[in-house]
Amino acid sequence: MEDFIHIKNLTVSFRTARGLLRAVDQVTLRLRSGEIFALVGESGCGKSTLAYSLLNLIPEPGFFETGGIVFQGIDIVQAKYRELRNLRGKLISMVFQASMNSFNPVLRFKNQVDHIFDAHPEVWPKRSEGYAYFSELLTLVRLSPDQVLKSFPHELSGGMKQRVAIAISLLLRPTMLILDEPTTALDVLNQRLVLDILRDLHSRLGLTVVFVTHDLGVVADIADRVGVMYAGKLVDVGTLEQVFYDPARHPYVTGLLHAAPSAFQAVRARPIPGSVPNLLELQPGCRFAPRCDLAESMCRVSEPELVVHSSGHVVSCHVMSRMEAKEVMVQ
Amino acid sequence: MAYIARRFGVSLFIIYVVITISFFLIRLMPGNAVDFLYFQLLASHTVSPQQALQQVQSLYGVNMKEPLLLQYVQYIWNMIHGSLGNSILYPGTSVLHILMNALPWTILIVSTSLIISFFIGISIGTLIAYFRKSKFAVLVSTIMTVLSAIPNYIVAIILLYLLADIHHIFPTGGAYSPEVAPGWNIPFLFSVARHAALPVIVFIITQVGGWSLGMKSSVVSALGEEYITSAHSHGIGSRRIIQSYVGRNAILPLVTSLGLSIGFMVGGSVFIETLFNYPGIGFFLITAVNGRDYPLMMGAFIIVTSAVVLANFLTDLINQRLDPRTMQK
Ligand SMILES: Nc1ncnc2c1ncn2[C@@H]1O[C@H](COP(=O)(O)OP(=O)(O)OP(=O)(O)O)[C@@H](O)[C@H]1O
Ligand SMILES: [Mg+2]
Repeated sequence: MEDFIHIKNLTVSFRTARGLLRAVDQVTLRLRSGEIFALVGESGCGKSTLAYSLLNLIPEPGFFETGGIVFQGIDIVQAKYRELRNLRGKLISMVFQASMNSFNPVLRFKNQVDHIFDAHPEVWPKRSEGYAYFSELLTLVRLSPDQVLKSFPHELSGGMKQRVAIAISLLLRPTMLILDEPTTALDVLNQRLVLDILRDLHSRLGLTVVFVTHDLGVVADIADRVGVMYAGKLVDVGTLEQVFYDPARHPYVTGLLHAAPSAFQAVRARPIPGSVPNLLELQPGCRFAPRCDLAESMCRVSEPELVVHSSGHVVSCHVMSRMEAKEVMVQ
Repeated sequence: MAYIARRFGVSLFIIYVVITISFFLIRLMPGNAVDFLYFQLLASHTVSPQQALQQVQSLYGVNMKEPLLLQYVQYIWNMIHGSLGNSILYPGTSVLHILMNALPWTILIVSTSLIISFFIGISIGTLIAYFRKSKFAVLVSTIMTVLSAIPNYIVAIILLYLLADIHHIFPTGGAYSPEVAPGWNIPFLFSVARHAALPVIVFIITQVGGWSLGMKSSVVSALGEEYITSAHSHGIGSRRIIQSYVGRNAILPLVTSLGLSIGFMVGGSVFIETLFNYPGIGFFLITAVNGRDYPLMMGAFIIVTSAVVLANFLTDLINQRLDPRTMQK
């Protein structure tokens, strides 16, 4: 299948007072057209930073240290400002982690939507059609279009603003939508609502979706494929099937699944011992080794590479690679 | 609407309170023009004490021997009827007349310099916020910090010395040259501009630093806001983001301090107008204080207080228009 977007050896670093912090460290990932890709991992592992990179919107003092992101023939990392402006919102759009704060507090939603139309006049040559489409989207997220458009951001609740943000992200009919934890600040009912809407929109519009979340329940619910990040590294990429059931998955994924409230496990939730390493004080070897039950001496010496298993499941783990190799030999 | 009316009522009340306090404070000041003249006449040995008193009272038209409370009631009564009494230092001239002639000059220099320094300040502030990493921006920030720390009378004295005393580029006093005829004619307007130039420049030099630094920190914090990144994520152009997203939000706290600033400037005009012999409210306030001209002093206080209170009232209104979160329906 054609790669929709190809992230190649991407490193995104922040210059901090205590040295260079590699929030995304040599990540390689291909997304496929039309899929829902879930990006999971503990807090601080670089999910948002990777998401921002896709729009070349890394917050200060971050910068691209290595690699590239190829999308429709251009490299987003190297792209000129004009190319980026054309891409942002129109081809790739993003709903931020704290999307209730993503509105200008002094402008009515109507003005802010107008600014987006102004930025990409070619998408909706007839503004009225653009507004009709936006009203449709707002109705879909169960908001009243007239009321929203004439409101100021502070006049809506946080959950309502998140839903407006989702509607706005689809305004220009992008081919790709990045959702950074769009449901974490919502109550369970709204969470369901948003997920249902996303699934519905996805099937109708055929967009490619990157869905960042901590919530494995949500992942199981909507994702086609899953990528798992740990301390800046992508450690496991596979289909929902593979990540949830392949015994050769990364031990960190196994840990995450066991730690999750028991939607999939008969046993009680068991948190992963220890904590995420400080990205400024990394030890040699596998970053997960200090917390890993399966760690061997090799794991404390050399950092594992991402390896494609025969099943197509991509895992970066010395132990799993060896087991996989044995399996392959036996067969 | 009801809110505006209420706010306006409060403003009037504040003005009244300040007038009352000033009235009694001024009477408590030691020494007054009446006594001064009375003792002078006595010292000349040509009149009896009785005659001296009569002479002084007829000259000034005030009765300093009446009870204070009665004087106060009389003063308020007259004020409501549009009279602030007659000046002592300028016999035969009403205080209102003096102040109404002085007020336009103060308004001229304060508002001109406020507008200019505000706009220069927010422009510089926005620039040094955007380029805060560059050496040039650091240098400009430092200069602005220094400027904001220099007292205005020092700048006034330096400019007065360099540009008026030594080089005669600007006049050393007055609001316009006596050789031109007041009216809407070019020579008069030019003369007014030339006379106002130095006081205005002094205000700008001493105000621009504060505005720049205020705007800089305000812009820097706005730049870190999620809605700026979000605006970029929609592909909105940088000019619009600077204007409608960064600038529009960053300016809010500065508009709030506009009101305070007008107060400071009207206060500061006391020094500046005196140093430049510029016939504004501040000049007459100092003249009145030095000459113990109570009615004039009171009148000047009333004008200064009203200016500050009304400026704050207007700032409130503007702020409400700019910031929907403070809007009252
Ligand atoms: N502006 C910044 N300056 C310095 N370090 C940063 C900055 N933004 C992020 N980081 C660091 O980069 C790392 C990854 O952060 P990121 O926000 O991508 O994590 P995340 O996976 O999205 O976490 P969460 O699930 O909590 O949202 C963290 O260690 C964080 O401390
Ligand atoms: Mg995040």
